[in-house]
Amino acid sequence: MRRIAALTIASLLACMVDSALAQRTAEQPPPARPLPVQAPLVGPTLPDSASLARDSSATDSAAAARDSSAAAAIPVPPDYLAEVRSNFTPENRKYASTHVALDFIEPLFGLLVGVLLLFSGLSARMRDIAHAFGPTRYVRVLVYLALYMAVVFVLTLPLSWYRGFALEHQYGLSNEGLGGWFTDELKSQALNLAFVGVLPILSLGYAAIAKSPRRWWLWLAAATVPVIVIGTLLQPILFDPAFNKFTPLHDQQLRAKIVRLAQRAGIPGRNVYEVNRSAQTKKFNAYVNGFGASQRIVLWDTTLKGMREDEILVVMGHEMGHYVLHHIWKSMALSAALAFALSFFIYLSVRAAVARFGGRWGFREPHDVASLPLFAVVIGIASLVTQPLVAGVSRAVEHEADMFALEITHDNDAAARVFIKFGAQNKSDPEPSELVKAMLYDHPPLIERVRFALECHPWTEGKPGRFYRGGR
Amino acid sequence: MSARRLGLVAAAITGIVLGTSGVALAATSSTQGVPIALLWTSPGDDGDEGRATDYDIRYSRYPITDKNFNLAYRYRGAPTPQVAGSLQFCIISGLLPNTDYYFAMKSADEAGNWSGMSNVAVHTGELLAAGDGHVRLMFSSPFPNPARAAASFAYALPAQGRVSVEAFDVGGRKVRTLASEERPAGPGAIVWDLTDDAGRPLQAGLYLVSARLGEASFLRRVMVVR
Repeated sequence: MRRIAALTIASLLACMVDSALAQRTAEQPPPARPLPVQAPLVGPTLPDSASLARDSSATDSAAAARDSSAAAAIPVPPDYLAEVRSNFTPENRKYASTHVALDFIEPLFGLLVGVLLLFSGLSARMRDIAHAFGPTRYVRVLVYLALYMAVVFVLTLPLSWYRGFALEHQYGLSNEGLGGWFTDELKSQALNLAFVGVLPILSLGYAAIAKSPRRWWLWLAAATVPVIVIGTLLQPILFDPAFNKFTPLHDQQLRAKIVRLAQRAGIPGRNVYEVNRSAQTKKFNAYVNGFGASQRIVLWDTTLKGMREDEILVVMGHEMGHYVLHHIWKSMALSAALAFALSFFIYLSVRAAVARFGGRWGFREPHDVASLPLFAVVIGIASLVTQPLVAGVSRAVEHEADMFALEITHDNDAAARVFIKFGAQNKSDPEPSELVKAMLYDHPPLIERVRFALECHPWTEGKPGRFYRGGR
Repeated sequence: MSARRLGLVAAAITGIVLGTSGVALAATSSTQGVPIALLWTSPGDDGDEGRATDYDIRYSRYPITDKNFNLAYRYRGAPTPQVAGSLQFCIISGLLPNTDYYFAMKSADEAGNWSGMSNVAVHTGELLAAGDGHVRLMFSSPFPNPARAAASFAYALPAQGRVSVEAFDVGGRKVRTLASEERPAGPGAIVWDLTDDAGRPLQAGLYLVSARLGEASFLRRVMVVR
């Protein structure tokens, strides 16, 4: 029983770890949301290579010419490194800098909100309201969670709006109206509430804390694994379709080439989808997520429209690299390892904080649901501390996928162009500071990716690939 | 000092085992994309004397000029320069099919002085495959011809098949078996170091190379000069 209960509290930890490993582009890492119920439900999606932004000329040429022969029209070898730098215009720099600032501010603001809920007594009052709904833990936790999410949503709405809507419109990167954006935000909240609250994950977690006051951290860590697995499994088939339409790739000629590429990579090419992300954004991306039967490669329709065929094949090669190299599984394993490593820290922190401040906060035990903001704060701090490690591992994984893409396509030029377009279209900083890179970049900076694309061609010397050893 | 007479000899080579003398000794199969054999006459360290110290071989899908030489991809498998006047070559593997490539090179002396750029060799992808992407059966003329140190032939197989290539003197005596094996579909190459089966250099004169690729036969003439 204790184990079952612990399964649920583990969702807290799972959310934390997920938020660290979930889809994050180098340009726009998701806010390190300190409040678990706010954390995206996405599993350890490994985003594309993408982070990009294309300049208008690149886009135009891409739209005009999808055959690789168009490249021959260019009279001299392009200076890709100079191009990626020149694309980072003052406007793009301003956008990127604002994003970096938000990436640091939002987690700290989240911590502040959690502390505010505790010291203002609001959390205890919400707990009292929840208790009025009945004696069962499930109902109390569900009501409290709904109240908590509503309050946090309102308090963080200005930042969320600025980042997700205003900033994107200011720089012409969004196709979404305010109504659509707000609806998506509400949907996200509803899904979080359903996954953590309606499913009795959180209430079981609190039950575990109540029944095993000294070992709940262990149960919590253990329960994180199935929560992550289930979340990753369900994301592409349950959560993602709530926001966008996923369809098999329409372009049959391109699809045939992708299928051939997939066959060479040894993976099922049928799991390639396109998604109408143009409903929300002008940015480019692609990713692989899910696992087992639900695992799929997804191309944003913006990417399909803005890139040439040879470039799309490189993007697909990158995503197939994630697939073939089992990066989803490795990410889940890392999540589980982090859960075990951090759960004891969380246990000690929560216990000490309750002993020290519990009286002022209106609760004396960690299993009181009013402690939820405290868990959120502690997990938020743990997330910030581990962020460099997680981002570093992610960059290594992305680098492997880049290498796989080059080894299977042998197309250095297309790879360089892909990264340049990603950088230009997504207004990414190609050469961030070491601090920003360490904290926020889950993909290698674009200048590194372009340089690698130009230097990695061991096949020309007849050397076998490191990750892909088949033929071209 | 400059790398001289750079010439693209073969449309396609499928893996080459290089001997220490810089002459291809045997061929092996490979599916690593389209390979190219690049042949050139080695420059000297001082005009036509001595030997260079290093090569910088570049390739690109775009025309290479002296100004953009450094923007082209650098081939890192360049051989050690031989005595001036030697025929040297390298195999650049895994290139994209149906794609034009440009090649150029520079050489350096022991002081690190780099030469000007060689001529630019162009390989057109059309030699390798038909427009529909299928490999077209072919067996090229020898390059160079006349040949002093080595001669190279490119071929392409539409499907896996037996490749048998033999060299004869004008008296009809077989002097060298250059290939006799099953090879995979795709492009490939045969490089002949102009020795006989015992490894002895052949005398100057005319030689005939008979190639059988699956059911198809080809006959090529090679003039050996010494």
